[in-house]
Amino acid sequence: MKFLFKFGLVVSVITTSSLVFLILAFLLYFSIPLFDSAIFVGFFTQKWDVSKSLYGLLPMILGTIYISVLATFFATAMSFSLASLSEGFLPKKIATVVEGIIVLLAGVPTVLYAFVALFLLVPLINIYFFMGKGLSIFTASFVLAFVVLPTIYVMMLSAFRGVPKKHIKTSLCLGATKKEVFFSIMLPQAKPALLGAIVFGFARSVGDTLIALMLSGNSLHMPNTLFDSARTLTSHIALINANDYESVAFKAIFLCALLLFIFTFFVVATLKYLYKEKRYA
Amino acid sequence: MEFDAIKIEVENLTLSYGKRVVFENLSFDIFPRSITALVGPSGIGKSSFLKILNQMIREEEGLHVEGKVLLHNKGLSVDILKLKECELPSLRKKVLYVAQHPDLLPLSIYDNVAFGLRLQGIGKNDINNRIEMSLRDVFLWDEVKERLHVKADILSGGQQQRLILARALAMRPDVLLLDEPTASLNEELSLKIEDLLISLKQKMTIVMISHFKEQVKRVADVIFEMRLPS
Amino acid sequence: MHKIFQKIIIFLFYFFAFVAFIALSVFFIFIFYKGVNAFSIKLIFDDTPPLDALMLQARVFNGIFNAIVGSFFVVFVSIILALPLGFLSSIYVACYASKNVRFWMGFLCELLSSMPSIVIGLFGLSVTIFLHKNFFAELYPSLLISACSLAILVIPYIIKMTESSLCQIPFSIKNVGLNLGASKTQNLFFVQLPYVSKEILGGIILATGRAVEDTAVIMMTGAVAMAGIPSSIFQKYEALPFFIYHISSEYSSKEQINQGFGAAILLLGVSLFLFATAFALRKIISKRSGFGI
Ligand SMILES: Nc1ncnc2c1ncn2[C@@H]1O[C@H](COP(=O)(O)OP(=O)(O)O)[C@@H](O)[C@H]1O
Ligand SMILES: [Mg+2]
Repeated sequence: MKFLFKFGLVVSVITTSSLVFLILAFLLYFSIPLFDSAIFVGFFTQKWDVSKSLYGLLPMILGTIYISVLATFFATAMSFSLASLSEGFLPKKIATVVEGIIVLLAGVPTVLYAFVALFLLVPLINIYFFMGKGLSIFTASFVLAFVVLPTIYVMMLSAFRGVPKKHIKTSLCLGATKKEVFFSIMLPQAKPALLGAIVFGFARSVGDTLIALMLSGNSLHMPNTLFDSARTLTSHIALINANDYESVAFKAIFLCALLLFIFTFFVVATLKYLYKEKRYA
Repeated sequence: MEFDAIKIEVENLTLSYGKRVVFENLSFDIFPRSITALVGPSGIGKSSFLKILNQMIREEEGLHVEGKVLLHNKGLSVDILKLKECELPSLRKKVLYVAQHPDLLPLSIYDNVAFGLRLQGIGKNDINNRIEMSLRDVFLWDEVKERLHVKADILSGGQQQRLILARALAMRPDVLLLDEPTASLNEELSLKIEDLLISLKQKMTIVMISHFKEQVKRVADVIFEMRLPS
Repeated sequence: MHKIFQKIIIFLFYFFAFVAFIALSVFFIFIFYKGVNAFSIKLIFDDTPPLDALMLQARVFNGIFNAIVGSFFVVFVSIILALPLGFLSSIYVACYASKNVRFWMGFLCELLSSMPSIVIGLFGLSVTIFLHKNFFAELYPSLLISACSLAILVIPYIIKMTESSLCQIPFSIKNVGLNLGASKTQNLFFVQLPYVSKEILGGIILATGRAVEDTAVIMMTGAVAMAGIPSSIFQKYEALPFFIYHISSEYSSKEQINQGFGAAILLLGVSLFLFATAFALRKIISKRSGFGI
């Protein structure tokens, strides 16, 4: 019995820890045939046009960067404001309510944000602001910001809470106001962890599929302005037509996934290195 | 620089943490420009009493204070227990608490002292002067003048205790609350600090906690002993 | 100068918080208004008598019933798969692993939980293709494949929650059993696990919520728009989040949009309920540990 239990433990650990490697192995297995072909450089320099046998991922890479950078910007502005207000300025009772609401937001399914935006924000932009530009980088990143907001907010809260209470008390004792405590003690000390929160939020927004898929228009053109339609790496994967497993177009999908994998690896490794302890449980 | 002569009147002061009463019905006066010493066994509520005087007690949780603490200043008197949250910073700049355990900020030696001065909106030149002066007052200047910009936590316990005293003095409070200011100093330094306190009496009202009988006898004008109810 | 700068920043704080508040209020008001108006028995069962549909005796053609059932099963199977693996792994990591193993497991878990879900979906798809080509010609994307992929998605959550709750048991309680002469395993089962049962439950609920709402994984691995109720786990199926996505891209009438909103409010209700329950459990727990026993 006891042996069985220990055997189960070991088997589970080996299984769960090999998952990441399995994912990597499969991504490589399907994308390696592309590596030695002459078109490899083309993946990072060309456009995507199957009819002309062009399989460049550059538009998707750019689309991903534009959308997630902008989304992170919006999300950071809102979550930093909310976190600062609830840790530094608002009365405790209100702060608790704000925290409860935003933490609960993390439970809202992503697809719903996109769905509502599609019937509310997109027509609004289409009709009143920029004719026919409802499905665009701007729309996608604005909505995406709300998806990553709770993540960044929670990490920023814990960044502020990581500032030792005694330092805050000492400055209060010297007659500092809430504002002064915030700007001269809490902000400087929480800064590294706040930056970590932003990086993590950025990774989240790069990895999200549904918002960009439903709201950015998925065009294959190189995006130029904020109100252009664009496609992200994630939506490019989602939009595959898995009929011909041997085609270059299908294999290129795995290259997209590989890029996302590598990006995630670097973000997690960097954060792990910067903050030795677990900050984002 | 004018220092205000502040008289403090404590009336029926009661402090309790949850259900536990720490002290009850305390009433006495603290006279301006004098040194009042608080003595009594550990745990009786001396530190808590000082924290009531600058209302840092409000930052602690689960406690209850009742009674009155009146500050008389130039004919004006206020009950500090009734002050609004936003009035506390200016009270704390006037009535300054120097903690028992050095509560340094994670800044350089210089910035630790400058921190309070910046809160008071004092200009840069003035800050430099005051830092030097107050560090000299606590006999720390010669020990740290070469390394003002290194992190303050490299200092020894005794140096840290003097540093927070210097930080308080630089702010020129009207009332100075000292929680065992010489606890980690050697005898020679203790005596020097005692002399300093006596000279400071010209300018400010001092309330101090001390465990040393000799010290209390030497510097205190009024001794207030807190005892367990028998 | 400095003061003015700070004032501006604080003003911006309130401004952005206000923007977020307004946008989120609009979102919730809109979805509740549309969803509650659209919601009806007909929306779920169409014209099929509900009782017959529930007993699986009559097929629902135009309602979201199939999607509800599909979602329920795919999540159920995925949690069944993920639970033992995640649970046992976390016990190993928390109680038996060396510091090194613990570090690397933590790293792998974080990597897996940060992995875009579409990548995990693609992994599920590629494994299916691989097996289909080389071993099982009958294997296609199906409910089982989705469930396995969803399991991969939630395993790191279960591990992290269980492990951190085991590690945070107060020292006074952690080794009570050992002091009384219990073995390490007995101590685990009779002292530590009962103590953290609420946290573990919270972790499972959170994982369920995560699996219910994920769309990217299931759209890669077998969720389709029209499948009815699958008769085995090797068939394609319908699911609520996929239904909502599908409506948004293919709707042809106002009625279908209404269906979408009905499904949306249902999904929102389920997700928020799961999330709030997990949150409430955590509140209970933090209250308990406040007294330290
Ligand atoms: N934050 C607190 N919560 C609960 N009890 C406290 C707190 N701070 C102090 N006490 C209690 O109040 C009493 C007085 O403490 P203190 O003022 O530090 O005593 P003294 O300085 O005379 O040694 C002690 O019994 C202490 O346990
Ligand atoms: Mg004390």
